[in-house]
Amino acid sequence: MGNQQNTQLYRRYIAQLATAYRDRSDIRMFVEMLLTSLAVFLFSVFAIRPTLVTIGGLTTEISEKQDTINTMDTKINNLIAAQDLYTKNNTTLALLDTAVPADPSIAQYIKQIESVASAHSVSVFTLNTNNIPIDTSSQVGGSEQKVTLSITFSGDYSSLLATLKDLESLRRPFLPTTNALSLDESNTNSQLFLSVTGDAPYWPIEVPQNPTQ
Amino acid sequence: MKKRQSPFLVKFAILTLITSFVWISFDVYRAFTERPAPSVSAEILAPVDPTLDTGLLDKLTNRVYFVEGQ
Repeated sequence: MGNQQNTQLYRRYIAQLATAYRDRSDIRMFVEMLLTSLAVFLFSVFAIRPTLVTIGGLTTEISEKQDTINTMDTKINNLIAAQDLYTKNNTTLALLDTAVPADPSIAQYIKQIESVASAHSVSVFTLNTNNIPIDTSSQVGGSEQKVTLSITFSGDYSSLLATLKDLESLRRPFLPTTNALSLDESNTNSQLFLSVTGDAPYWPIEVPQNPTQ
Repeated sequence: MKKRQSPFLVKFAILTLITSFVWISFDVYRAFTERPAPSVSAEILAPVDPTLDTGLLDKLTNRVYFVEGQ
């Protein structure tokens, strides 16, 4: 009995709601507005937003990839140009190894100094160097290192001057820090000495830590 | 004549709709402007300068050098 009464009550209530919706235009308008808002909200959040976000993401990705392609194309063209330049100047570029060697190469350098001295009829009286590393692998690559040399030449003034000029003009440069002329008059034949201290640079090769595959 | 007020539920729905439009607009703006992380490493993208100072190399050729045995 109680259930039937409840059913009747709800039927009457729903019938009143339907009548109110049909008769009252304001209620009809608000309900339609509410349902429209709900529909627009659902479509915009679950359909339009993901689509637009995907379009945006793909557009920027395409743009980024196009930039990468342009950069790589430029780099490839530059590498081709660099390869051509290297091929053209291959023999001249090999001179760089003698001008700025990767290790101290002190034996070859002393031979050059002796050759300069003999070319100007000047004798090498003394030749000292600082501590020279035999193994340069422990040195920091990609930065300038120096070998310091102290040389004393003996000869006449003009030859000593020419020797000094040639030392400075060597293919592997000698960078004098101090020069001093002295005259030894202790013997009957006085001797003129030129003492030069300077640096000869070398450039250890930088070994990459993480070579690119 | 008294103007009928909109119910709270309708006002709430309209405000929610406006908020969701603003959120979607910002999200879409960010998707269009945010640059993705480059797919190629910076080391590979680093530019290469293909110029060579040949004048300097010519100067190097003219500098004093004694060939062994000279």
